[in-house]
Amino acid sequence: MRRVLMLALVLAAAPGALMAQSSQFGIRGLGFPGRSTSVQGMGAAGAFSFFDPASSINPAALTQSRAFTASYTILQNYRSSRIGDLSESGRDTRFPQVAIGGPVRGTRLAFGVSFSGLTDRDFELAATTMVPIRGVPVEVHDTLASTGGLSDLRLAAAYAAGGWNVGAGVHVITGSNRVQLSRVFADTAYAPVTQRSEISYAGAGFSAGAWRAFGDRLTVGGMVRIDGEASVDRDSGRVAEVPLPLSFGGGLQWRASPRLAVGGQALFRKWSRADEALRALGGTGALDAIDLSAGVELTRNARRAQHRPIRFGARFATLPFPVESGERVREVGVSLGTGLRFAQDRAGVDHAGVDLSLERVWRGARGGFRETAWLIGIGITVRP
Amino acid sequence: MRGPALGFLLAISLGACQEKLTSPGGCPELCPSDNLVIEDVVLDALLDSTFTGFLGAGEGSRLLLANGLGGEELISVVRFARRSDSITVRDTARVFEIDSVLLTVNVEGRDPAATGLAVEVYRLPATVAVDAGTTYDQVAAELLPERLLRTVPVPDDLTSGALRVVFTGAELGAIAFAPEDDNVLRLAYRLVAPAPTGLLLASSAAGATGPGFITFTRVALADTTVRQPLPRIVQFQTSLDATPAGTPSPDLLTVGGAPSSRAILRFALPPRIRDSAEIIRATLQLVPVAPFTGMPGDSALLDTRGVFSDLGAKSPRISSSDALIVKQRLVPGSSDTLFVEVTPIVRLWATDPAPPSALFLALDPEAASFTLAQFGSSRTPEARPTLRITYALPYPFEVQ
Repeated sequence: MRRVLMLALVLAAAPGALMAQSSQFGIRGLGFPGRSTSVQGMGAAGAFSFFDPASSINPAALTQSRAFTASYTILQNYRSSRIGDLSESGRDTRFPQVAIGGPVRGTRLAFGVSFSGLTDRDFELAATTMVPIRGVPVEVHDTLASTGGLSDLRLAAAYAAGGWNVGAGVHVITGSNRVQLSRVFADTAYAPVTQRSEISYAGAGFSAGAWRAFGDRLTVGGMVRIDGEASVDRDSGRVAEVPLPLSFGGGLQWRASPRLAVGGQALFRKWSRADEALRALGGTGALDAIDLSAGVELTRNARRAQHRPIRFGARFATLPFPVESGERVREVGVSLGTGLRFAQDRAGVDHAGVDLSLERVWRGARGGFRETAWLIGIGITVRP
Repeated sequence: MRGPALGFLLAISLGACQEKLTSPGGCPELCPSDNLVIEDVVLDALLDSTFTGFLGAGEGSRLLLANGLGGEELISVVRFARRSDSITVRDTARVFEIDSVLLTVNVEGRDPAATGLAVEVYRLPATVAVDAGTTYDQVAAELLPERLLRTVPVPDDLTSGALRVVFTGAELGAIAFAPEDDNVLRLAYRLVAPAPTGLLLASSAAGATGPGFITFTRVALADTTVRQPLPRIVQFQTSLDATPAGTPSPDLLTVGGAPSSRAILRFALPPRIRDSAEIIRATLQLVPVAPFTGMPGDSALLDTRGVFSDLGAKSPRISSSDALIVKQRLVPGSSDTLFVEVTPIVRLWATDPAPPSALFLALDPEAASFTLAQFGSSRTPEARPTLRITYALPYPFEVQ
């Protein structure tokens, strides 16, 4: 137990905010949506996330865990953003998913705590334009920077009985943005402008899910999540209550052979609930979002499936916060992944593991907004 | 396999040390400019007034000479400290012989176009006290040919530097003291030139370059002769105007002159700006009611500062940083509206605690220039001083 506590402390002390990747499409609304998926899941484009105990999508997936497990995700993002003829490359590192959980010995219960990036508002915009001041056009150089986002703390429990696996989770949504605007004038008679603010968010939600294996080959799962409203405060004053989405989806896994699994999932998030509130704030509103993925996992050794498997998959998603009102942002990605397991004991249990994923994504929206990115994921798994 | 995996981890970790988040901000979709509102407002001065008497003539860093410049006749007078009859050599006070006497003045400014200038150095009698009560007429009456010690030409190419007069041998009689002089030398300097112009001389307030009076002494001892200079400091100096300016008009804002005048302008900063806006530019607009007087080549500056507290004429000026002292050159003869950028000062008015929203105007150098500026005040509607403030409102960070 001491080792478990120590691991939890180490993970909690890890640097950086828990957020998904940064993107120019994370500037609007509440930011760029996170995927709440482990690196193991990302390798197959998220196709098996409904059955992955290290992901935070389906609470019932916790029953898949055979031992107490802690997993930690590092995501390195190299991207190129383009708006019309303007382009800029960027890079950043995030820690989008931490999960700790496992079965309660002697029972059919499993518990888990996870911390995921719900949305990411890390961005920095640079622009040069002309602004009329005192009746004269003046060239200005603007930088708008934001760090932060919304995080999702989930406390979940799952139970297995009669072939069914059911689970439920309580979500605490919290987060903040530290935002800064800097403006420098080409005419030095004007003093530079620097303004800072902190936008904080708070909310709560509930999720429930189930999965069941039908025979040796087919496994089916589903989930539903209801989030309430996020309170949005600027510095110390309340500025808005933004409804968070109703989410539901399903996934399936087909084990074609002991060494080959094929999976897919569909997830729908009704972000349009936030549309009115975001528009009332002067924003571009919100649209419903879908996330579809399909993938394959090919294992070398069916008895040690997580050691050096080959995972790959493809994914299509729409993003909830349009750059221009009503113009949907689309994302397509293909991914590849594998993993290593270490420190196997006499019972054949691996006590440590590293999973790797490489994903190439293309994002775009009308108006000349394009973005490509390489996402490199590293997942560290420890079983004390 | 462990090695490559660890290498990959290390590479990723190193890459993670740097972040670069910048994306292009395309306008108008992702352009911050659209949401940052910039406005400006023009404020009229309130309760503005002129105060006179900060530095008197001769208390500044320069003495003024003029022969009709701007219709003014100015002469300067100097009284040196008493010269003793003896000097101390080898711990003994000894009577000295005078070897020579050196009189100096330093030119600090002139009209570069004026030629043929010369400075007449007169010795004033003891009947002219050379103190604060001395008048132009008293001195002018003593500027007689027999009191003229020397006329010192000012080379046409001299813009700054020393003018020296040396008395030796028989010439020493002209500078010898009579009993009624009490060993005190009193001098008057007058400018002569073929055309009206002016000349600026360093005063003792400028330091070592002020008027000089040095007696080079000689003391004969048994086995040697000791030579020793005996300098005398300036005890009083002033510039005297044949037609002194009267009290400045209460309806105008006057800056400069001697005794020097300063002006204070107060503004009511709107609460909207004080509480939540960020001031990005503030321009003080002053409208001269007459061309600035002065001499070409006399570089006087309008010195604008904030005040720590508003105590009228005695308001302590904020001088804690060069950035908070705004100086702008006044061009003699110009009557163009003056635009003074006072952004650093006005930004202080929106801080907490904020100094009074007032500007104190003075001339630099004070009481040491021919320049005099007169601006319209809040009581002259056609030439009212104003402050134009441009400010940015809070950026709506929550709007995206």
